[in-house]
Amino acid sequence: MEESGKEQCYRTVLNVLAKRGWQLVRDETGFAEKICAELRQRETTDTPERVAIERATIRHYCQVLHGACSESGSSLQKRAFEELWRYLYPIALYKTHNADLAQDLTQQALEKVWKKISQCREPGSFLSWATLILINEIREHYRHKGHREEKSGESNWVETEIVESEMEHSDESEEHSEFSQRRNASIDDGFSQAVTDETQRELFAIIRTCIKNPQQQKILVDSFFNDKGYKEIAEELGITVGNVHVLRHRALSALRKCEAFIQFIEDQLQ
Amino acid sequence: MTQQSPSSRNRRIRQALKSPRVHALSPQLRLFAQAVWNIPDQRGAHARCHADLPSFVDAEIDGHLATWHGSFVHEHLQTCHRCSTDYAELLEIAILDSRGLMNQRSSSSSPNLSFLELPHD
Repeated sequence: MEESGKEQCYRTVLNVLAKRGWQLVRDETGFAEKICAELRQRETTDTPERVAIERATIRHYCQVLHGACSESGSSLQKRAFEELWRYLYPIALYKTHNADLAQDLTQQALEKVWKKISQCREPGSFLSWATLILINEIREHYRHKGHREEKSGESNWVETEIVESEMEHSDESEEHSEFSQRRNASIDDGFSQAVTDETQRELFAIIRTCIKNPQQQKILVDSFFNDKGYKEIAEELGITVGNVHVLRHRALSALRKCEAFIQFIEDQLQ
Repeated sequence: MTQQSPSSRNRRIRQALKSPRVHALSPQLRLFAQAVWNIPDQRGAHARCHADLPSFVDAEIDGHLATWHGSFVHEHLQTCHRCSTDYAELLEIAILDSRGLMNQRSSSSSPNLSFLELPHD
């Protein structure tokens, strides 16, 4: 017998809870009902249904977790912080590659979450909020140490990938690579989407002159003139969001030193 | 006309980008130029950005980034290298988590939750 959409939705919600080991929901059926009813009303068409259900489940569970972490002195609060530990610790381990250090930094992050929980503006994004606290704890740790060694053998979290990506780019034969033709077509498309007037046309010509790397050109135009986020740009270029961030930073630095761009801005400011 | 050194030209541009003259530029070009010269905007901007950043990143993962276009956090991330680094790191973790690559149900380590017994400030 074919499973109805409603049953499928319930099952997806309960699977998310089980897969992640999330146990703070007292009435799982009621929890699933609420999420599925909300999704039916919204009728989201821009994301696949299963993904939309999973994301909605995470958002609703964040509210439950936030509420439980705020319940001072209760056993629920203790369980909530244990769950938060299980979420944050793998992130710290991924960032540090050191189990002892990950444990210390996760502990510090948990204590900060507890102290600052009233500052969490959106309980539906509680896990991202807690992750941001952890990221800052990790950064502070390395800043105090006075050097960056987040991953042994790497100068920073994305530098190696960037270097490899740029080496691949310089090795390929631009004229004959099908991939590079597709990529350049996509970059041209990005430029033409963004052009709204003569000033922008001139600016984009200068960007092409000052920035030789087509990936960097695309990142600048999509990020600033096509309103795209790092995720979308990274997917289109087949690189990580860390790569996008570093390549964007490098492109901005290159423009600051480029005579044609400096002259263009001076003229615009007259 | 005397030739200006690159550093003095950069200094003059930075000053102009912080002054009312910046409004001679279109909004997009203003943000772009401020990003190139890393011009900070108003005081307290980093804290305000940090408060909204988790929801911003979740919206991007959900495919609803368009609802944030023109918002304070969106504009601040364009011009602030420090906050855009946090954005990139948080987004990277969120993407890995959404692909199931971060979820580890069991961990041999455990937290010390004695701080929960302390009085909350």
